[in-house]
Amino acid sequence: MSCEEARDQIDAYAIGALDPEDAAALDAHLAACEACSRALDEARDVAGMLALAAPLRQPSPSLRGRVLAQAIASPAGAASAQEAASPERAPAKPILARASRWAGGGRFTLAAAVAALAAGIGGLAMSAALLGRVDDLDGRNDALQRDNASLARDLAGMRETAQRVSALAGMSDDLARQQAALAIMTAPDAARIRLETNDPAMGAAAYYYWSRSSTMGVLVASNLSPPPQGHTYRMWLARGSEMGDAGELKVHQNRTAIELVHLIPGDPVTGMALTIEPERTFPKQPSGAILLATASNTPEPAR
Amino acid sequence: MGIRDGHSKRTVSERRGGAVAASGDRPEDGLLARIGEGDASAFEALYERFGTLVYSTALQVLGDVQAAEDVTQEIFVRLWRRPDRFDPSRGRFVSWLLSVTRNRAVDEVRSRGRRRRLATDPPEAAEGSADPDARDDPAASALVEEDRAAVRRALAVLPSEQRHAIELAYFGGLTQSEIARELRQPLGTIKTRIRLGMQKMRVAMTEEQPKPR
Repeated sequence: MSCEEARDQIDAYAIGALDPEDAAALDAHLAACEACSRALDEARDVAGMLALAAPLRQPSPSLRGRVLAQAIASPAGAASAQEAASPERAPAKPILARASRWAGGGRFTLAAAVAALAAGIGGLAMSAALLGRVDDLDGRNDALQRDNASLARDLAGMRETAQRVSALAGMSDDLARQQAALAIMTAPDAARIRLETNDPAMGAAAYYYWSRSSTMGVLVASNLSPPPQGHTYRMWLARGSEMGDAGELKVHQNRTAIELVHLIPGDPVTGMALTIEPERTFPKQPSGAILLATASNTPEPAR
Repeated sequence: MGIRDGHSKRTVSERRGGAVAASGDRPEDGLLARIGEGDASAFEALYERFGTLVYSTALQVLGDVQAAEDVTQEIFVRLWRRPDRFDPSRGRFVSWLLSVTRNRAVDEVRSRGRRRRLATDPPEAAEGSADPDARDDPAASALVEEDRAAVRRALAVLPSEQRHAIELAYFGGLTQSEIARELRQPLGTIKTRIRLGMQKMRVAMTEEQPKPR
């Protein structure tokens, strides 16, 4: 192929219009021709601007949060694995600097819950910017006026999106779940209920978050010891007069747990409990010791 | 009449020089470097600057809001993980970013086995307005707006069959043979339309504008 013939096809190549055989032939020429390669770079530069001809459309507001959450949950750019593992090198502000913004509400504030979430994904400090987003959601009145249908759509799509994107990006399911958990906890109409223990010596604390229009809730627990040898923690949901199994609660190395709870439509949740059950059993009713349970306190908004 | 600068490929807006060039019209260079160091606020700034453009490009190709958001998310996560993939010596960042987006979106169309959209109508209006995001950096928006206007003007003055062929290739992801089959035209005709149309686009988008008095 001569350079003249190559140049005739370079624009088509740049906009992706070349048929595969022609593209292969042009590739062969380009591999050996510096001048034509540069011409292709220029053509691609122009072709890339063609995209600007598309009408401008805004994505849904929730996309921003999903992009930020997913990105910062993965190791950053050119940072080596070592750098990513040493949080003191991360330029993002550490959680503690912001903890004082949430006054009162006991130990387990939303900030602490978000911190538990961040801690659960490898010890990376959550970006100050993302925590700022949580601030915005807390403060903004118009978020409360958001209609339920739109929220239900967003949340219903959230899990599907999280799964699809995690498949695309080859991420572990863990990160997608954590992203979904964050979405539930920071939803404008999120509510939560605290699980308590009778044992003052036990430092564990847990909250169950849900939003009125969601089919998913999330249990977030901190300062949990791992279950005793041969046992697991199981979650139980009280709905109406029935108590049902809500799945296993896994404890991460940093003594936190975040589990999504999937709700089929039915009676509203009236209570939750966490019990210790023998491993590899699937009891229909709680049989073991109760670690944490909701008292009859009313749910509070998750802020 | 367009005298192309030998070193850098400058857009219409960049060639106007003066205040525009002096205001640091490649802030993304600094942002990419900071992203490489793990600076999440730089990443957020990049999303604010380019998120709508990436999404709009994906949506034009895919015609599906959910798919376009998925692709947008993937493109930005890729940027976060590998900001070093962009090579400034080969062209402009916006151009590279939107090309990567377009290519990914076309791959997605192909893998879903969807019937490609042959119409060049914009997709059904998505949620949200077509106004630029109020949080966008005004300087960056102004620059991109100039380029957008230039591209649209350039496309608008092309003969319609040349514009149509280019749009079918770029946004529709069709190859020359596929376009020829769809439009029932000889392959040679389509090749010529694309070649001539792109030549005109190139000239229109890089020629010098008369300086305002």
